Amino acid sequence: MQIAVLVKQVPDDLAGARLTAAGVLDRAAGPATTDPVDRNALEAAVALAEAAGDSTVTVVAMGPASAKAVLKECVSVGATAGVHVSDEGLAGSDALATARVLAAAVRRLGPVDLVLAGARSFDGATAAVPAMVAELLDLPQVTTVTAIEAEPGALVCTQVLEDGHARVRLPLPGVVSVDEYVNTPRYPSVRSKLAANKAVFEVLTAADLGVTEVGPDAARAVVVATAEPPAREPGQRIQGTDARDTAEKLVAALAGAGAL
Amino acid sequence: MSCTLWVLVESERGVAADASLAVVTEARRLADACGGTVTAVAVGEDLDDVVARAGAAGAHTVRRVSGGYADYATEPWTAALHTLLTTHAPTALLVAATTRGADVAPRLAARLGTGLVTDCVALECTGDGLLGVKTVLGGAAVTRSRVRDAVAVLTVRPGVLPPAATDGTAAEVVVEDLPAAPSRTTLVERVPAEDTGEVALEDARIIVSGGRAMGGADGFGVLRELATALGPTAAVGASRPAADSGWVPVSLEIGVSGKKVAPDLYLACGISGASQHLAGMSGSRTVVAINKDPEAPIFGVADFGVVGDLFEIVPALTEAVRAHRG
Ligand SMILES: Cc1cc2nc3c(=O)[nH]c(=O)nc-3n(C[C@H](O)[C@H](O)[C@H](O)COP(=O)(O)OP(=O)(O)OC[C@H]3O[C@@H](n4cnc5c(N)ncnc54)[C@H](O)[C@@H]3O)c2cc1C
Ligand SMILES: Cc1cc2nc3c(=O)[nH]c(=O)nc-3n(C[C@H](O)[C@H](O)[C@H](O)COP(=O)(O)OP(=O)(O)OC[C@H]3O[C@@H](n4cnc5c(N)ncnc54)[C@H](O)[C@@H]3O)c2cc1C
Repeated sequence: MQIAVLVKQVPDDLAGARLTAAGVLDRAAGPATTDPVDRNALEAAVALAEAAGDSTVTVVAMGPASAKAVLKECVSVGATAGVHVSDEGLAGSDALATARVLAAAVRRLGPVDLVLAGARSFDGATAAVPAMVAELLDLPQVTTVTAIEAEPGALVCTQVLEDGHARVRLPLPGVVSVDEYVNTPRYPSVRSKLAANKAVFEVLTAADLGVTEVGPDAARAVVVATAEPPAREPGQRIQGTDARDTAEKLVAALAGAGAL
Repeated sequence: MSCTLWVLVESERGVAADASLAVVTEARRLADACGGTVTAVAVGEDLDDVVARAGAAGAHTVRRVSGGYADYATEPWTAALHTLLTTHAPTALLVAATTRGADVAPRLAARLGTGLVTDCVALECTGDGLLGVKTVLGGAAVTRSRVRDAVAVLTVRPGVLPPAATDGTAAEVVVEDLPAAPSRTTLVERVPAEDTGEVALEDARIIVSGGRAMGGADGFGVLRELATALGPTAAVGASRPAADSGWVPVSLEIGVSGKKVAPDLYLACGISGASQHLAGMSGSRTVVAINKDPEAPIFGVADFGVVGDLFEIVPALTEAVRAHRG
C-alpha cells in the first residue's frame, strides 16, 4: 500500500498560543509539537502498512523550517519518507490554500492508495483540510473516523454521529480523517530516534508544486477582527457549615441568578 | 447589506436535525435585520415534516431535494448543493457543524473554490458582509471572519444558538429534480445510540460533567442522579480522561477534541479546567465548579465555586435540588 499522511506542527499548549492582529497564529509565541491527532493518523497508516506488507508511508507537512522536527518524529515511529512544504509565502494561508498545497504534494508522490489525516488540527481546528484534499484529488472520503477495519481494496470506517454511529465502506484510493479514539500511537525507541535524526526530507515550495494562490492575499476566508474574550466577573465561592448546608446555599444562589 | 441566506437542513429518516433548524431561525433573524431572505435546502427522503419544520423555523423558501438521497453520502450531497448554489448564487450557505455538516461543507467549499469559516458561535450581518464569529485557541481569542466570495460557506457550532422557532408561517416549497450523483462510499450499517432515555448533550440546557476524579464508570452514578433531579433538560458529560478510560461513551467527551456545548448551566465536578476542556464548554452561560483543590484552574471560569469532595457535595446537591424543585 502507498499511504500519505498529512501531519501538522502545532503549538504545544493552546494556553500559550496567541493570534497576531491579522488573526494568524503567532508561531514565535511558544514551543511547538506534532499535532496529537496526526500521531493517531500516522499510527493508523503504519498499522495498515504493516498488515499489508510491501508498503510505504510518506508524511507530508506544510509549515515553517521547524516543522522538520515533526517529520523526524514521524520517521521514528514508522514513516518511511517525508515531504516538507515550506516557504514564507505560505504563512497566513486559509484552509483551502493549505488543502491545495497538500493535495499537490500528495499528487506528486504518484498514485497513493490512501491519504490519512487528523480530523481537526489542535490549533486552527477548522476540520476542513481532509475533505478539501479529498475533493481536490477527486477521491472519496470518510471524516472523523473512530475505527478502521481493512478489507481487500477498501476500508470500513466507523464514524460517530450525533445520535449513534455509522459504518461506512470506503473503496481505495480514498481519504480518511481520524480522531483521537481510533488507536493509541506507539512511542519511538532510542534506536529509531537516532535513525530518524539521519533522515533526509524533500523540501518543496508552493511554486515547486505549481500552487500560486497561497498566503493572506489569496485567502478566501479572512479574519477581519480579533478580540479578547469578554472578561468574566470573578466567581463566588459557596461555603456552608457542611455538605448539606453548602448544597442548599448553592441551590439558593443558582436560583437567585436565574440558573435553576 | 441585503443578503440571501441559504441553510442546509440536515435530516435522517424524515427527522430534521435540531441544530440545523436553529441555524434557520438565526438566519431569519439576520435576514430580517438586513432585508434579506432565507432559503432552506432539505436533502433526503420523507421530507414532509422536515419541510414544515424548516418553514416554522423561519425559512421563506424550502428547496426540497429527494430521489436517491435516503442515506447521507458525501458525494451526492456535495453534487446536489453545488448544482443549486452555482445556479442561484446566494450570499452564503450556512451549515450546522454536525458530523455530516462538517463532512460536506469543506468538500463543497473546495468544489466551489470558495472560502469557508467553520465552527462559528455567532453570525453577524454588517457593512462588511456576513461575519462568522469564532472562539479560537481554546477560548483565548475571539475572531470575526468574512468570506471574500459570493457564495460563502459557514458552519455553526451545534448547541450555541437558541432553539429553533416553531411558529413561522409555511414556506414556499420548490421541488428540485436533481438525480443523485453516484457515491463511491456505501453505508454498511447505521447504529442508533442506545435509547437510555437521556437527553443528548447538544440539546441539554443543563450539563453535569465529571472528570478523572469520578474514578470509574460507577462514579458517574452520582452525576446521573443529579442530572435526573435537575429534570428532563439535563445531561451528563465528561472530560477526556473519563471518556478515554471508557467510563462513559466517547460521545460524552467535551472539549477541543470532543463536543462543543453551550448550556445554560454547566456543573464541572472533579474537573481541573485544562484549556482543552474549557475549549468545549466556554460557551456555557453559568458555570459551577466543584473541586477539592482550591487552586484548580476551573475556578477561574466558574461563576460559583465549591471547594470540597464531590462525593459529599454532589449527593447533597441532588437532595437540595429535589427539595427546591418540589
Ligand atoms: C484560530 C484559527 C482559526 C482559523 N479559522 C479558519 C477558518 O475558519 N477558515 C479557514 O479557511 N482557515 C482558518 N484558519 C486557518 C487554518 O487553520 C489554516 O489554513 C491551516 O493551515 C489549515 O487548517 P486547520 O489547521 O484548521 O486544519 P484542519 O482541517 O483542522 O486539520 C485537519 C488535518 O489536516 C491536516 N493538516 C492541516 N493543516 C496541515 C498542514 N499545514 N500540514 C500538514 N497537514 C495539515 C492534518 O492532518 C490535520 O490534522 C484558522 C487559523 C487559526 C489559527
Ligand atoms: C491534543 C489534546 C486534546 C485534548 N482534548 C481534550 C478534550 O477535548 N476534553 C478534555 O476534557 N480534555 C482534553 N485533553 C486533556 C486535557 O489536557 C486534560 O488532561 C483533561 O481535561 C483533564 O481532565 P480532568 O480535569 O478530568 O482530570 P485532572 O486534570 O486529573 O483533574 C481532576 C480534578 O479533580 C479534582 N478532584 C479529585 N478528586 C476529587 C474529589 N473527590 N472531589 C472533588 N474534586 C476532586 C482534582 O483536584 C483535579 O482538579 C486534551 C489534551 C490534549 C493534549
